Amino acid sequence: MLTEYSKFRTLSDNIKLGSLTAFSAGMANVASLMIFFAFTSNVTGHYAILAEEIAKGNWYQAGVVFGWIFLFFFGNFVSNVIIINTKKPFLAHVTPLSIEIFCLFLVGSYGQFFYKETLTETEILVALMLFAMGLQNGLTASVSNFLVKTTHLTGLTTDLGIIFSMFTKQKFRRDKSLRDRAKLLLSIVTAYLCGGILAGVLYLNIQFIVFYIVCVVLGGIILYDYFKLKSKDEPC
Amino acid sequence: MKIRALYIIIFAAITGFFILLVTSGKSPEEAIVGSWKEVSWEYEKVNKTNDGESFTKLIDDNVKTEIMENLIIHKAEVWRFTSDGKLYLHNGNKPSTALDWKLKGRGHILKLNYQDNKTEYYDLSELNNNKLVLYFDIDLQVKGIVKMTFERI
Repeated sequence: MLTEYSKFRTLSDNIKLGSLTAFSAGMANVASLMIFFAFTSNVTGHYAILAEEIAKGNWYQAGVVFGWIFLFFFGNFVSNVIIINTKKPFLAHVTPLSIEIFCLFLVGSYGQFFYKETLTETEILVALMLFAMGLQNGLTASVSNFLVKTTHLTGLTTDLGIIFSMFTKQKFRRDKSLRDRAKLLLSIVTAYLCGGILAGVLYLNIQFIVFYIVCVVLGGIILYDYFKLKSKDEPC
Repeated sequence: MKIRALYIIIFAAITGFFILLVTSGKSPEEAIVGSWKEVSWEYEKVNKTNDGESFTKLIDDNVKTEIMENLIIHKAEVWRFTSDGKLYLHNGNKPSTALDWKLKGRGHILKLNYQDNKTEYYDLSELNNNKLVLYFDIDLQVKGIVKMTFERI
């Protein structure tokens, strides 16, 4: 699903890519919210918090939130730099996902074995997760021609609202591209929500191990693409 | 080559700005250490009033006692946070209660652990040299959020 290039990507490819990555993003976000009390898959709120902390003159907290926002940006940056500079498509897409898996695995294993709940540890682990989510968002946006942004649910909900308002007119209901877009967005929202609910339930029982499950989901995306490419006999 | 240098300079400047910010202020974990005396308990937000008749946001002692029955913070007048993660609750001449404290998020959530593993979370909305403000949700008589204000002693 990652390997199909830009205009050759089908609706099915985008739905698979969007759903699976949104599912993992939802899991990561809810887990981080429950453990660290900080959002990691969306940064809109962080911008508001940054402004608030600056206004209050809380420079340390402003610095931390600024760092988090920058790492999300940097994740997107790194992801796309890898994609545009790597010639082999599979390698170009699998590298950001592998770094993301590594980051989330690190968060999970550190949390499971070493986490003492100090504020510094919390800040660093949240930073690592924001970088990982940036990597994922950059990858999905890039390979889907900016159609799929799995961690950007504000924009997605806005798009859904607009599309459903357009469906009040018959000529838009007949427009296949609009219907496809609605299907894609709905699948992302549903997957994100399901991932979040699952992480919430699992966290209560298995704590930091929930991050390993996110890694497995992301590993599934890599494997799917590997076998898809192999079946097409294309160079990896 | 020029563009690469430009990117490196921009990222270095951002990193420098980040370091400048975090070194310009105290971490909440350091700032909270010390002794704090309770000044007031008030309803910050309420969803109903006593039929609009002379409702006051200030919580009287009876209501405060009732609220505290289910809370870790048993009638403490002075809270003393130590750097080793302990919180001592002092009330007059009675022996002080010791809890574990942690800060979560960006330092805006105070987590208190009681010895029987009971946990409570408070929203730490203000923390400076002289003032500490905590919020917690309460569902008693009037449902709302209670604001606890402390001053440093």
